[in-house]
Amino acid sequence: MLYDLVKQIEGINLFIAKDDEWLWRDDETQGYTVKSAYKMLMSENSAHGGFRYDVFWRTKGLPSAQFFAWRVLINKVLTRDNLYNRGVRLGSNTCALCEITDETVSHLFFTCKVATRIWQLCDSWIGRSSVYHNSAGIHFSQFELIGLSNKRNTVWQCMWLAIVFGIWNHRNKVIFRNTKVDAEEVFMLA
Amino acid sequence: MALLGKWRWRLGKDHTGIWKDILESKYGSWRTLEDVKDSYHESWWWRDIRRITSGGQRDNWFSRNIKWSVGKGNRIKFWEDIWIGEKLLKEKYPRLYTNTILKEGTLGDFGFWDEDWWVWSIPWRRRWF
Repeated sequence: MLYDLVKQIEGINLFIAKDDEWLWRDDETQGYTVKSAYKMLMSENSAHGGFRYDVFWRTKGLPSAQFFAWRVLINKVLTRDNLYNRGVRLGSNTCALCEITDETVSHLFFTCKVATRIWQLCDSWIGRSSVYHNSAGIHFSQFELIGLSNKRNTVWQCMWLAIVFGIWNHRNKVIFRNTKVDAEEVFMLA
Repeated sequence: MALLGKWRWRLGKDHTGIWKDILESKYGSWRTLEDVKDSYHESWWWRDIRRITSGGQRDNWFSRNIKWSVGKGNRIKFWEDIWIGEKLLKEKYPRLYTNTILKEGTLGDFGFWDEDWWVWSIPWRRRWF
């Protein structure tokens, strides 16, 4: 053992003129850059089957819709359950659209019967029917059609952004301006 | 995460700045960031830096990408940093580690200069031969 250690270090010479220093493996001359760290973290994300943010940000929707949809993905939208977690007590956490279940991101945008209806309309528009997942990330990735060019898929994914944003605006209208719940309207606006 | 990592990088590198002096006087050097536990009197700034770069986060994404470059041996800890090979020396040679009287020191404490040449000399608790 001692022999191994001696063997391992005996070739190493120190340099009196230089401090010991950190190097960043991705870029040893420049050191740490936010860009390289971001790239590294993101590539690991997709390698582990995580969410493809690169695909998401490549969609060309309205920036406001895109930004909002991103907050849906990371569950940072102020739905009633999230308000509750932040200490805002409204008395009721029920979803404004169906008035049955608690309002969570996954419920409001994907499993609420109003939301399901909207996604169905969306499907019938292109003549297919599908079962969607209730997690935002997987739901989004289901919006990639095989046999469609990349360009067309970006357009189709835009539709996803528009609908998610539309549901939110509609929900706000229902709560704050007492309008009627109308799935068709959300779809048409999108 | 990538943005916060920059703070950690600048703490470990030789950058100077009042922000660094303040953090270090309050919490000690970046090495204390390796402890995983939160303590209630830390600022959120420090806590965030630690949470995103300490062990556990994405398989240690930060420290995995750091490599020591050996200079005069003033900062690298002989047993407790990965500076040669892919493992800590104290993990690779646990029996030698228990038998050394110098566990904390940096590379410079483990030898002497013979003119321009560095000669390794590790102080042991007992003689080997």
